[in-house]
Amino acid sequence: MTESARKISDSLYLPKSASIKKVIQFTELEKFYHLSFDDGSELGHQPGQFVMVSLLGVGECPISISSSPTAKGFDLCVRKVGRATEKIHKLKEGDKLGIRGPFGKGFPVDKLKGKDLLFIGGGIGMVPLRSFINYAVDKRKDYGRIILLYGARSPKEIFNFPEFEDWKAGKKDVELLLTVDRGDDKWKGNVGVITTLIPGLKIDIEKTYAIVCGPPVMYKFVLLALEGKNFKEDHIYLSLERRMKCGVGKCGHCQIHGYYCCQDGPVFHYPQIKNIKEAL
Amino acid sequence: MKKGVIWKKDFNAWVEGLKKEGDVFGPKLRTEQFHYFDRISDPSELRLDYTSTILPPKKFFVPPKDEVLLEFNLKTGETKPAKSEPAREIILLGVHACDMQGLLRLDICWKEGNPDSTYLARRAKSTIIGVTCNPDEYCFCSRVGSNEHREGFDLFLSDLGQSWLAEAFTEKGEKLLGLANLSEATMLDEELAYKAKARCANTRGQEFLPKVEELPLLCIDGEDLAFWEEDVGKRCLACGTCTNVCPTCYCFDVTDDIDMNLTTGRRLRAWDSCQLEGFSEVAGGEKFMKDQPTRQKHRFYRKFRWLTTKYGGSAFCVGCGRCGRQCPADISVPETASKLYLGVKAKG
Repeated sequence: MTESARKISDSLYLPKSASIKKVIQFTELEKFYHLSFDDGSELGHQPGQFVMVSLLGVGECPISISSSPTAKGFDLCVRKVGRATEKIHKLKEGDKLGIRGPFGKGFPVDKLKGKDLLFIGGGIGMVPLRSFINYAVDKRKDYGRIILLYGARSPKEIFNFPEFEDWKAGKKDVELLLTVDRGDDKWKGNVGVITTLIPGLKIDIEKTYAIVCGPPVMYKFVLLALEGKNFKEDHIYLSLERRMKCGVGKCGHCQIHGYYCCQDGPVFHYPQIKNIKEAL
Repeated sequence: MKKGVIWKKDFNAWVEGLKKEGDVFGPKLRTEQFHYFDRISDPSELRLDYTSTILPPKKFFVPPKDEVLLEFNLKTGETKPAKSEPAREIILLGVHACDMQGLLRLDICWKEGNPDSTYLARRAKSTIIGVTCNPDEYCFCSRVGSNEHREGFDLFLSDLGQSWLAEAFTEKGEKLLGLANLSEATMLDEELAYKAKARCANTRGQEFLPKVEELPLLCIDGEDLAFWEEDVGKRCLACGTCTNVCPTCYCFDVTDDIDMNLTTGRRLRAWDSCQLEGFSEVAGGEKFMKDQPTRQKHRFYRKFRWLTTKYGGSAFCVGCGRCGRQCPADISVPETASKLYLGVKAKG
């Protein structure tokens, strides 16, 4: 069968079964899941792509892939925020769920070889960034500096990723700058929104590329702060969130003017969406 | 290809014959005002002199709701794709040129990139018989250049008064034509068919100022004309009628349905509308299309710029006039297009 004939005969909407191998409760609302496909296959994704997670009888939701393709299996991090994600939160190690994908255009990992990477993640925006951070760490020689600005609302809401202690200790050659909007009694680190970390950065703007993901409200302030550093517009990549029902460029919900977020994104080059009012 | 004249007295017998070849659907009278496409059990129900139907023929290929994408069993975890090929040929009798153009646009969207097997299986098992039309003041097919095309039809019927000139364009069409009591077409028949074709170009509709080729350039990113906010956006009731009745709108929602036994169920597809408030809302509560002016603009830009440039040139509006005819707030494409045209020209 030819490629196109094979595709036509298959259903676009048939999920593939995966099992949960490990669950970590990050915060009250967020859980981390390590999964693998029951047929032993790998997801074969690019950093920055997403999957549609399917729960029979409940529905589907788009979830960012948090792991690097250099690792076995794949990781998702799910915030309990709707019907499907509430159900996912009830699942335990050994339980199964359906996966479609990977979908979309991820981070330009090849184009950014040899460059310094400035990751700017706010809250759950850290989840897709981690797929590229771990990829760059595993291919350390291919990239220059790896700088990570991570902002959470409070110390309790910082995600304890499996490699987080390494990052904090400065291992793996990752320069981590952590901040929280509000501290607590024990917190001794930075307090303030993520943009407060940007002015003091010592970076080579010719060589540095920013990769940004966070809540919708964060992007404009981050862009302003980067502009303040004379950061080049075409050195910025953003990962965006949209409502999605199919993941395959049909259902229309994720349309951002001429782009489908599920096909042309979720990662966009800033010049692509700069003049689109509804993009951010 | 085969061509000939079917006398109107022989027509119903031919339609009766078509029923043996597949399920025949055609325009019937729904209310005094509206026609609709429905199964033809008795050929005398056919109203081939209709102007427009409530819904376009897309409903035969993507049903408005409850279309099964997957069947599943919660106990075993088994999932299987629904059977998508119809048991019998879908014969659509009496489709206008604008609606055929609408189907051809949908063919592109469902096929391009990730082909949708359900839609394509139904389309492959369909035969489309066209008919010349009787436009009203809402039609504007000639403004968007969709009135004269015969592409996509298997067979086309031109109303000659006492008879139909029937032209086959495909083998499927030729086969169906073979079932008719056919006489040879004369020069006069050809001339009458030409006149019937010319009638399809409506001239008494609303003013439509821009040329359709200009519209992608008039739909400018960041264009912020006041009429979206103060006029169209304010009048729109956000009911979603325009997208439901549009022959080229195909956005959809997906939901799961479980049976009373709490074991078996299915994943269903239903039409959705970009005009509804929750269309762009994500689970966290953010709505990326925040208000009705934005949603109205989205719909218009999608028709005339985004899909047009994505899929190679033709406007994703075929001028059937349904959205204007059925809009409770009287918003129409010709009106919006003209206001956009005047606004952009005024700004220079």
